[in-house]
Amino acid sequence: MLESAEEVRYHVNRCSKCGSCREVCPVFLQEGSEPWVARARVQLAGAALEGQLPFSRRLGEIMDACLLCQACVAHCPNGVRVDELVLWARAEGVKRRGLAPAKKVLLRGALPSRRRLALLGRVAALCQRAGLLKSFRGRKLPAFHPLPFTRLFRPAKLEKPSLTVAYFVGCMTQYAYHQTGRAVLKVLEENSVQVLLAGAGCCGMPALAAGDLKTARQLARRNVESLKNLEADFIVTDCATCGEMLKLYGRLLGGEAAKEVAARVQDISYFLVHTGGFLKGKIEVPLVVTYHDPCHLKRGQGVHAEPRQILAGIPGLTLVEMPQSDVCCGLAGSFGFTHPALSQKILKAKVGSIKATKARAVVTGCPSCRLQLASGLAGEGLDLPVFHTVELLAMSYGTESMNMPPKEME
Amino acid sequence: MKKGKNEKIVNNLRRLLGHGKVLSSPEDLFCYSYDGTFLYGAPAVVVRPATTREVAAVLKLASAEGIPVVPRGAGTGLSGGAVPVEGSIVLDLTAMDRILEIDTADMLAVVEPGVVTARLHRAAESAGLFYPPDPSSSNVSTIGGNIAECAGGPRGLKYGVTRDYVLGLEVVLAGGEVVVCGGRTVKNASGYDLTGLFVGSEGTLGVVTRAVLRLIPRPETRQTLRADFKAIEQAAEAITAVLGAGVVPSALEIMDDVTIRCVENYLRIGLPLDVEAILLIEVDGPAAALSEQARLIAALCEEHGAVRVRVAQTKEEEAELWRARKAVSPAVVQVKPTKISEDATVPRSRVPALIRAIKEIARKYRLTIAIFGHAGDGNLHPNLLVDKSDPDEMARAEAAIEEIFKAALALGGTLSGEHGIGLLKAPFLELEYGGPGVATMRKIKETLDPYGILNPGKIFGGS
Ligand SMILES: Cc1cc2nc3c(=O)[nH]c(=O)nc-3n(C[C@H](O)[C@H](O)[C@H](O)COP(=O)(O)OP(=O)(O)OC[C@H]3O[C@@H](n4cnc5c(N)ncnc54)[C@H](O)[C@@H]3O)c2cc1C
Ligand code: SF4
Ligand code: SF4
Repeated sequence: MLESAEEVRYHVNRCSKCGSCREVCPVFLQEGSEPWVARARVQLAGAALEGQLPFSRRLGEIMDACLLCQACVAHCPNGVRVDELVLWARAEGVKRRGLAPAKKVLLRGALPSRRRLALLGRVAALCQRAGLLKSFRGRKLPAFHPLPFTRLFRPAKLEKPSLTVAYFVGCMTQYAYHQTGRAVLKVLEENSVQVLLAGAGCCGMPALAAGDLKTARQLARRNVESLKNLEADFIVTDCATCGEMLKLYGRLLGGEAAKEVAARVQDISYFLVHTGGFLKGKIEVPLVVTYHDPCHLKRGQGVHAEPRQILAGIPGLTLVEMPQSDVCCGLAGSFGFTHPALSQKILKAKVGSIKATKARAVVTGCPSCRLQLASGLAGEGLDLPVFHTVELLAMSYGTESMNMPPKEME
Repeated sequence: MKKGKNEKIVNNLRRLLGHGKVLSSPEDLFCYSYDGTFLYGAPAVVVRPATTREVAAVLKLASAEGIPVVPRGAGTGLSGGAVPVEGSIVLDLTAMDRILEIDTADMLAVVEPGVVTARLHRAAESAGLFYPPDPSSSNVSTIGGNIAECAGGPRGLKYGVTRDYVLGLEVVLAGGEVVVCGGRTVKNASGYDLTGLFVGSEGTLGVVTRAVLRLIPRPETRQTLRADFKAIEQAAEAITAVLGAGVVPSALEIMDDVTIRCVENYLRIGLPLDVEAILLIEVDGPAAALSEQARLIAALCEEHGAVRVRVAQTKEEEAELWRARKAVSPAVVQVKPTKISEDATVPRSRVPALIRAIKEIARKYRLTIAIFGHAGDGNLHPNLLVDKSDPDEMARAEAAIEEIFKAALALGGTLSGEHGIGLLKAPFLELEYGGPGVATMRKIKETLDPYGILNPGKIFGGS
């Protein structure tokens, strides 16, 4: 979280304007002109900081057209935190111009209330039953469940657990991908890890990304309150974005409790490989898969070898790497809905990479990426299922039904 | 430009090119106010033409109205060539980015100016050919920018620089006339060498809209060695011996003690801290000949006092050796936030003398200067590591740069090996060419650009 002028200036001054980010910024590579590249966002942030330019609508547009994918950050020779400068500029814009009305309703009205979120989930599920809301802004949506995951499933009570973890169930697992949640419970149970369900609610990333620091902090504080008292050795997530956000709580809120909570957070694949340990799969999963690296997992949390190690522990499964597996899928939270055309272009490139592998299924570690990838594959008439890493491991343990994809691709 | 007139011009440009290709909001303009240097300048409008005809239309309008035009590629230039003149039209050429032809029979490529250098590298490679000019910025720099600056790179010693690969050009002149010069032949003795004139002209004589580039057969393989020397003079003697033995390395890079320390602090890969110079030497060619060449180079380095020579045996070892050199840029900025990268160049035999002179200048002005670069062709990159928010240090840096230029010239060298003169070195041009030399260049400029609208202020200063 960059907040003081000094912190912002430090990062702006580190930018040598070398332009190296033109090689990797997915938005720039689609749009082609300088305002859409990381270098420009850094320079604009600097100009706004020094009062050379106002926090205008146009500046806001340019800052909003950033995926926060950190491709630039990983590539930058000077380690400029472009993503944090963008977040800072967005937050300053909100301070001056307020939130757009639609964002305000969603961020301040719905996200902070678990009840209202549940209601939204139910309405979405009902709409889908009536044949509506199968897609939104050109993007195919997953099936919503009328009841949230935490109302339907309870972790088993283990006799002699080796460790106890709190499982932070993110919104997407809560309302759409129950199969991921089931797999997390099963995989942890198989490996003698006691699971406690943390009172699930929005992690706050949508608010932070929109520049709404107030709501982001409100949500973070609430989650810290409910996580800090759980007697859990670690806190695990199945969502790359939630994971990165929870790890930010220390910086976002300050204070011992937030730091202590943040330090205990681990992505499920990291936890399985490094902390809890995991048994190899037992049942063959004869599938050729390719793996997409979520931005918030690979660059956000440094987790990229771990999911592959898990896949390597599944008998019968073959991993074929796609070219540029770590380029953003283009969803980037609400970006996909606010910038549908641009998001689709970035997605198309990703689908092309997937196709090149001839894999019969796609694996990833983030439900948002999953939504985007599934939509992109369906859009091209490809019948490839998308799984979360843990779902395949659960399948191999024999604890998940094997809904295998058709034999041939296309 | 006045506000009313500005609006009129913007509208005219929109009519010529369409709305999507003209940018005029203050925020968009700000994004075109810089290049790879620390300079800024505000343009009045930015256009992104897609064809030669559109470029010509813009230039015609600009010359009729007397508005300066600043051609621009990726904006990675290190001498300020693409930094806009106040009130100018920036001509962003990156939308013209087609590779039109890779001709394997005539061994050439025809490209538009906005093609990114590395894309041409890949296209040539997949046709079994090779486009050697390799500025370190090649993953983002454009061919147009490379031609305008006559870009070089580590391969300069063996393969030459951009100039050596430009067979022909299509150029739009200031008034909108389209000139085609050179052609598709390696030999061309017909009339003045206009192609050669436009190469390195930094956008001051015309706008390159198409280029015919020479390709050569791809070398079969390469091999890399590293040699560490206690004294810079020993490294220089080793270089002379290697070249004297008839081996021309495809790269011959030097890192001085300051650079080595920066890289070691950054990577911690066990670089020696008790030596004055590391040489990285790469040879390429037929696999059969290479190991013999590598052995010979290793022997010559040892004979001239290398304390250690390592020859990469595998691809991984090769990457490991190059890792130190590739990390120089990020490594040196860990020391201070701002780096000013110069490219003073001297005849090869004077490299040790220039390094000694720069070290003396660093001491005199209490500055940290990391020296690295292409020792094989005498092209050094002294990088002044400073903090631009420290005015006293910046003043000392400015004085030091002037002395470095003077030292390079006194050693029979040039102000710039590959970055061009731009704005940053304009005040020193006369030191190198003298009055009559600069006057001759000015005459060429005035003949080709009588209205003085093409990138004014660059090379000559004082717009
Ligand atoms: C990290 C880094 C490393 C670098 N390493 C090297 C190196 O190893 N060797 C080297 O030689 N340079 C190097 N450079 C400098 C720079 O990349 C080169 O000068 C490059 O050729 C500039 O290309 P560009 O497309 O960015 O041009 P720009 O910076 O956009 O423009 C450079 C000049 O070319 C003119 N121009 C651009 N396009 C045209 C056109 N179509 N017609 C007419 N004029 C035009 C502009 O007006 C300007 O004067 C490096 C730069 C950086 C930031
Ligand atoms: S953000 Fe980093 S990569 Fe991009 S221009 Fe600045 S220093 Fe270079
Ligand atoms: S975070 Fe991603 S989209 Fe944003 S500037 Fe960096 S590379 Fe571009």
